[in-house]
Amino acid sequence: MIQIKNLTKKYGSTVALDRLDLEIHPGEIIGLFGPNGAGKTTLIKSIFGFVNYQGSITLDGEPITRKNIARMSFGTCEHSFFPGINANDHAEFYRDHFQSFDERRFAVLMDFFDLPRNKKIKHMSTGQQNQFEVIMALSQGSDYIFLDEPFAGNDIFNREDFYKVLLGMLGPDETLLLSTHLIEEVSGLVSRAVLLDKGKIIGDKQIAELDSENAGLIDYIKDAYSYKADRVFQALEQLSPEGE
Amino acid sequence: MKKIISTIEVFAGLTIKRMFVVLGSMAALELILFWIFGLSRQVYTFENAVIRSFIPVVFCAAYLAMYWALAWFSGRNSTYRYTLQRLTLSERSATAVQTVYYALCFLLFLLTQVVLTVLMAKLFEGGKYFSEGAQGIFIDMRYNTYFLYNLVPLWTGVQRVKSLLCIILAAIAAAHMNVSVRRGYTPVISFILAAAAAMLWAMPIVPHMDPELVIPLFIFVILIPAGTLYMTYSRANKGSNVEDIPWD
Amino acid sequence: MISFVSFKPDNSSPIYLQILAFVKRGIASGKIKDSDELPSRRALSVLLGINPNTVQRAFSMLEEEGLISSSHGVTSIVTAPPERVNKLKEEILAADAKSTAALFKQNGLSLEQAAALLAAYWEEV
Repeated sequence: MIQIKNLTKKYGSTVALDRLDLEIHPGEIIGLFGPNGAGKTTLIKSIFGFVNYQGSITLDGEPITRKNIARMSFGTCEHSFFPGINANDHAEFYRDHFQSFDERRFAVLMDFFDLPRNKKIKHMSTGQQNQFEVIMALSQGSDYIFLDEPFAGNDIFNREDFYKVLLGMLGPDETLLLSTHLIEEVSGLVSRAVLLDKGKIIGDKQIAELDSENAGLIDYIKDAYSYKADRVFQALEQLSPEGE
Repeated sequence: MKKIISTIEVFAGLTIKRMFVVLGSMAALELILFWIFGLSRQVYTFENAVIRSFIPVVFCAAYLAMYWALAWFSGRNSTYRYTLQRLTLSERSATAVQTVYYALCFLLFLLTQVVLTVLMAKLFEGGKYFSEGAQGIFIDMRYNTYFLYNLVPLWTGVQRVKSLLCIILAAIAAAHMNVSVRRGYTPVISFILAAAAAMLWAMPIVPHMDPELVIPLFIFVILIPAGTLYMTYSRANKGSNVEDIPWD
Repeated sequence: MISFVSFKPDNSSPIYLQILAFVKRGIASGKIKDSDELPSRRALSVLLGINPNTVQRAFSMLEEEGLISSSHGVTSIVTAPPERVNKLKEEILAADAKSTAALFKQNGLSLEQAAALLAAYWEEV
């Protein structure tokens, strides 16, 4: 379990994360939702120690150090791969640095998405690069997989395929945290929704709970963010006071 | 262990092609220029031939291009540091490995120039009817120009130390450049260090050292590199809460 | 193997309930027969892009209602002897009738008006 307590991150005077508490349990598929600037990326980066922060983050009770960081993997729309080498090189690199590297999964995924093994990643299309980024995160053999908006720029069929692949591939002990804007698409996929706004968690529900209450995820989210369905209408009203 | 080797392989993969482009162009350019300018009738000494062919200029340009090939461009997509920072090999260790790799690259660079110089000498000797023979070329290289002097294959002990020092300085400069560019800083200090390495290279080694030279020498050769090393290593892994465990 | 190709979930109700309804209607209409095999939980999860917990919940409820039985925990088979099917048909018809009655009543129709409306469209469908 990953336990985050009192996590605070400030960039100068801007508060990106505000005394945030969160627990991530094994086997969960968590959808991390929130508008731009809510702090989704900062949260994930803090877990990996890419940024300094205040508060505590532990993995099974231990702080995150080089000893246990390999139990977590990371995929991002910013792309963390080495652009100047090809997929086979990456596999070799991961093999050397991560004992748990899953050779078979890597091969199956590369095959399934038809990605070239010998092309430098920088020469692939953006869609393929996104897919490759996620494949490496999935093949590392980690227990916790963090994906930060991994599908920016992929068409919907790509994404649908990927959700299904994730469902098929993830073992019962593997945990996935997926930060995304595409709430409708992932609403069936996730088991838990965590809602972020201005650095704070404003919602955290298990989908099973919502199901029992006969409530929909989208409605829950709209509620949490106090989304006013008629705000566009109101705004337009203000633009043309004479009325149309 | 294999982690270090694989890190070297990654850096090599990112830079080797460009480096060979630089070395290849340098070789082609020098040989062509030498063929055109260095073997004409008016040229009497090898030293002269080399200078007239703009070889030192090409050498300088190639030296700068090495930095571009090794450090500048591969820093452009800096986000692969997200992978480097997740390794059980710390980013600091990776940077140390990178520095050693760069040193080897600069060594290769020097050796390439040595080989080229020998080739040019062979050309000169072979085509010249006014030649003073192999002896003459030798004399040229030993005593006449600082450029050639530094390249003579028969390095003396002092010269070897000086060359080694230059290589180390250049490697540190390149590593600092890469780490800084990766994080979006302008690596001012590495420019200074690169220039220092070049100047040290060009300096003649005289039997008696002018006492006035000692202090500037100390600054360039010890302080600045040490300072740069420190900066590099604090920049690598900067902003990370991940505790560094000793290099395994 | 029962095909879920025509299953299209929407936002109207929890997905596990929709799966439940799909299977029930299938049984009632005869499309899904006694001792037909259901895809495994995992396969269905991947097929539909739905979290396995949701699929599990639907299966559990189906089992609770005695409509399926899981042998060895992997394959699930429909258990719908004719009496069960008829009972299901009745349940579904009753539910549909109930909601239609509620709808008509809401719109202020009397029983005779409702019957007349039904009769009018009876031949068409």
